[in-house]
Amino acid sequence: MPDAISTSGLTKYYGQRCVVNSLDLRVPTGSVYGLLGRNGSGKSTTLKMLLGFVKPDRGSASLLGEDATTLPAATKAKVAYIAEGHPFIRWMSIDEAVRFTRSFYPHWNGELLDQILDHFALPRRAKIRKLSNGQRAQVSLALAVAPDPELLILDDPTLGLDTVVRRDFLESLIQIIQREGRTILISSHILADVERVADRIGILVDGVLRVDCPTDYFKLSLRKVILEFAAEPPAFPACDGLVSTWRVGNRLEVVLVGYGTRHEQLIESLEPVSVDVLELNLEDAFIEYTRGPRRSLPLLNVEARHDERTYA
Amino acid sequence: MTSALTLKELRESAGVAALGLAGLGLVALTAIGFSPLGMVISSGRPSGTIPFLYDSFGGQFALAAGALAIALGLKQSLGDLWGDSQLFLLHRPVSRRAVYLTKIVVGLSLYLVLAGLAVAIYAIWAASSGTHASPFAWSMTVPVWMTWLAVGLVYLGALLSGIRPAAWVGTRLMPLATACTLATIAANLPPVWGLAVALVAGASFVALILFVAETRDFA
Repeated sequence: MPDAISTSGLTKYYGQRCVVNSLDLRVPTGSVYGLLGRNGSGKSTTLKMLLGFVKPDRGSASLLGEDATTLPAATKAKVAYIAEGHPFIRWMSIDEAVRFTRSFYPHWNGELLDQILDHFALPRRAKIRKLSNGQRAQVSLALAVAPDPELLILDDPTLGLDTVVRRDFLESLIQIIQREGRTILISSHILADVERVADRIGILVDGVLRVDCPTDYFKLSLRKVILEFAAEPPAFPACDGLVSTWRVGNRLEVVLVGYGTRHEQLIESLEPVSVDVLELNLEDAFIEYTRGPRRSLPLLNVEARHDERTYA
Repeated sequence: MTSALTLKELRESAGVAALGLAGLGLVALTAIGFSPLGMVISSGRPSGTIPFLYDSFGGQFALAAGALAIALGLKQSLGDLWGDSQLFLLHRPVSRRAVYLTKIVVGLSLYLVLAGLAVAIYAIWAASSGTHASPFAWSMTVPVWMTWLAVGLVYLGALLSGIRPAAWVGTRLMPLATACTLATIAANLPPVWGLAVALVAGASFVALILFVAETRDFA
């Protein structure tokens, strides 16, 4: 089965800054792919390039087998998009937004739309501008799935929603996924959301796709290893799977992906006093992978500050 | 689909159109001598004026029509860019060309109808016997009709200024400034040449608007 989304060397500059760098992404048909990254990592720009809002400087992207920069209307009708912040034409009421949107699509599942609007008890005559963020997200979801799209692209759809609304939104999304087996690409920086729905994840760090693997594999293969030394720790040698290292006094914290025998041998060669291998949940794994060299402010982290002073 | 886009544009332009109609109506009624603001300013036609030849209608009309054209063009372009509603609109299965062509047709039609109405009211009044003690021939209205047509360029320039990405306000307003210059030239040339300039410049502006709409990033 062909990929629903594929990109090759997709690159975008804003001025001198490379926001998406040589992105090779494949989203198999029928999968739910979570695109993760910190604010400004290039997630939204990637999605906008896929949808043709933004033209890439280099590389190519295809959606449902068509070139993303010249998507024909018939293919566009099969792709639903929920933009960050749930933009609408704000003077419209929910009914007007439904009528406006319906006029563009050859297929329209009015029954499903009614089910979703009724489920969320959304007042049809209410003006969009008067709805809460959560209600606008719910209207977005209803309008996105009503045309029976083959592919849903969601850009941080739960941003700004409270915990309860977020949970409702994601559970509705899960039901929709299970019901139709659609392909979904969801970007988020809320890890728990992605963990609930995605069977594969990609992590963008400064515009570069650093991780692209099944969600479970990512969780299982990432380890934080804490090495204690009698004196100042040595530098950790460069090796495959090394994500980051961090020295705190006589302690060396190392984050490794694909932790295995070769890493164990490397660690033994450093002759640490003690070795502690920790498993990470997705959130911790994501933080370790994306945080870079900057840690908590010493002023706000009294314990760490004490450590540094003691062992320096 | 086209009717949905047309209704959207009409609904979003209704406020500006209503203000424009009020302004242009005021200009026409003042020229006739029935100014609703007569209590505050002055009422009645100044003596010794000849409609369309020796009166202030042409200048006042150009200002009011220009203001309407600029407001319509900017409202139609910037209105969608603010609040990201362009992401909601442009993702629909319709080409950007169709979206912006609908905007142009609706905006230009609104301008031409509203501004044309003001000229028509004044011209019909001037052509009616017993309304003023001066000669009248329809050919006297041609310069104002030329202004009416030429100011359409200002609408197109404003729309292009609104959708064209630019680093600072000076370069962003360049299409509007160019359109104002071309409109002034077209309105002051002999009618045939003025018409030619207006049509060629108008077609160029439409082509530029569609080109920018199709090629720019909507980030």
